[in-house]
Amino acid sequence: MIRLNMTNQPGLQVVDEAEIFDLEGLILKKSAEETASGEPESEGTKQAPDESIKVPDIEDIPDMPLEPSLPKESDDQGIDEDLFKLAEANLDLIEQAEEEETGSKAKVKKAPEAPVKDKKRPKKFPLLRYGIIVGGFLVLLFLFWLYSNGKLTRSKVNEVTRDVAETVTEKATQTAERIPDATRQLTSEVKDVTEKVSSEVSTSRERVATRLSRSAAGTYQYGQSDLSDNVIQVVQRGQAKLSLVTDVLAQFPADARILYLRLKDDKLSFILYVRSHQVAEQIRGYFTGQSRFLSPEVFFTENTGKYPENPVEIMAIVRFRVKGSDDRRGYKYLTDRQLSQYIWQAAVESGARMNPLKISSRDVSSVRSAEIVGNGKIVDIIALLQELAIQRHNLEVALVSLKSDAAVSVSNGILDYHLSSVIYPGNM
Amino acid sequence: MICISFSDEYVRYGQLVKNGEEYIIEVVNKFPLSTPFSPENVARPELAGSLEKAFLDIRADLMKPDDYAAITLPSVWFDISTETMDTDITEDDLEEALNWKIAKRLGEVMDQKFVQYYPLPDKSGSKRSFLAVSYFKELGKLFLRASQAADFNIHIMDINLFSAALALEHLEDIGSKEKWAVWLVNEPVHDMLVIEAGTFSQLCRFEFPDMENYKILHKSSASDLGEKIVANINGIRTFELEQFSAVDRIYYYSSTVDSEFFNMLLTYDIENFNTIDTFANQKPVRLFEDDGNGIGAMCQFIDLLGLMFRKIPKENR
Repeated sequence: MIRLNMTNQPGLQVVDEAEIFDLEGLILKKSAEETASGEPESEGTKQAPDESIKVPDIEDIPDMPLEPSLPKESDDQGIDEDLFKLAEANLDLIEQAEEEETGSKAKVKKAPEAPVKDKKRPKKFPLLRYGIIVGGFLVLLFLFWLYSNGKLTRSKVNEVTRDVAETVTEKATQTAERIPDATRQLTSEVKDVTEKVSSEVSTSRERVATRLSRSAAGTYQYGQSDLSDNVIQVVQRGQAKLSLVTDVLAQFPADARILYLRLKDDKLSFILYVRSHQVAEQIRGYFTGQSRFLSPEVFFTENTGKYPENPVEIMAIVRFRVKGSDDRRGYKYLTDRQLSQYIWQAAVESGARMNPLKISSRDVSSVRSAEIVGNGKIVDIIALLQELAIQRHNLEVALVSLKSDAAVSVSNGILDYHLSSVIYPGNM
Repeated sequence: MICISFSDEYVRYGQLVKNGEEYIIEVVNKFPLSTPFSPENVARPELAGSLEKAFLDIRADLMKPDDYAAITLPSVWFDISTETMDTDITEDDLEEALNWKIAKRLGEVMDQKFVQYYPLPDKSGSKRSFLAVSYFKELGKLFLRASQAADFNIHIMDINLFSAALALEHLEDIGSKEKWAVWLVNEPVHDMLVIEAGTFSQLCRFEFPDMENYKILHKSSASDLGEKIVANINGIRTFELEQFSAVDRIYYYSSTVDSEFFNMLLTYDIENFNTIDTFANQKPVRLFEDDGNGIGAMCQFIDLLGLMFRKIPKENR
């Protein structure tokens, strides 16, 4: 790595200081009094070697860019007054130079958005467009002819406008009289079409239902699973993690503020603000009192005073154990579309907001990652996690992240959630 | 050797001495500054007084007298850019050409600034690259006055991220072909140094204006590598990403160890995203532990160790 030394000469640096190891500054000098008196070294300097190296006085260092003589009082005043102006001018110029260099000023970057495609509109009715242009041109010529012949006066224009208005009013009255008949006719036609479509849909539903029931009756037995034992085990671990998070969230007092909570692998970490050390101890007790949690790796409490009503900050890292269940019945393989619908439905029922499910790849034969992201009130998120925790499909929630700005209490605030998941193929 | 690191609110320092073949870190300590060391305070006499007091406090705290000082300062005080030159420019003309380019960049304040150029290893072969660093001479004067008041002689002046990178490079045994970054978590404005193939690549300053976005405030070159890393960091912050892909590894440390954001980062369990215990291998005789003795507290001294490594041969580190 490059080694800067801004006490060297200005300009191009040719000496690679990186390889120079000198002892200057490392071997202590004896104090002047000691040298003069020849007294033994004091307790504090017993270990200092006898040899000393002369460190040049700053006045004598020729390479030192810092000015060796102190300026006069009046100079200082002038320098100080000008310095702000110089700094501001410098800043402007630097920004200008950077702008020229990078082509743009510092800019706020948002999450990448899908590029808006510049759709090329097909040119419809080219002849009609040309006709309109030519017609417009002829009208202009005609108006010019009228004007040049004195026929386009204010009174003529008023007269023509009045005629046009009367004609339009008359036509409008006639049309209005015909509308009820037209509406009645249209309504009856729409009704016919709706009834026809409705009856066709009902028939189709009956057919699909019949087909599904036949298929189910012929293929599946109650409780049979589509997934292999290995996949079921990892899905169960994901279920257990979700249950664990919901349990922990339920332990947090309603008036506490949560900054974040994160569960990954076998580790749960969070920062929480609570009203007292007593409450913090209760939370610690929750973790120490259950066998599924190991003794907290970190459980740090501190009075921060950042939030007057929640002055105690808890920073915790707790390891835990989750285990699968012997109940392996009913684990079904769902397609991406079905999974997406299922998860979306869980969000709708819980009341939490959710973005569309993001799946990393279309290759359904491989193990893929999926991201479930959204936000909501803590009760809604608990409901969502509980719903996902009981799902028996080919989806494992591997990581849970919850985050808020801790501006308001757990019960009133909005939490962002992010569930990193894994989708397993049906053939594993 | 007294190594001193200045941040916005604190001065940290350590003393390194050589006794026989042994290199000993005598003390590592930290004091608050009475006036924040930030560019907007540069014209305030309180800042000069604060720096002078800092040097005097350090002098008073030293068990062993010493006057050889090395300092490292925040990058916000420096203008840093990468300049490229054609290879056909002769050595004699090189400095003049670089001065001409920097004068265009700095404008009329060029005369008020102290400028240095550090050659960077060739990447393409068709161009030669230089790291250009400049600072107002007034900053130098400020430190000269303050250090002389306490009888210190400043022999080395560095930038804190560069010092930190030097320490990390050796402590972590980072390969010469790796692409990595060191991030100074310093709310609200963050600084990051990117290193490629063992040398400087880019310095980037950025902030997180809200819960979802990031904003690049400064880049030392037009390369988008730094911004890609910041985008990665933002993705981790917003849970969109689970690992860094823009570089092989990222190290982070902070001068404000009680920052919530920094403490949140400490709990992240990401393979190529780490901080470091500065004194895991070599404990100072007297070490500041008022902020705790965990990795989150110890990482704040990493740039001090970088200064010390300038004087400690590799085999003794």
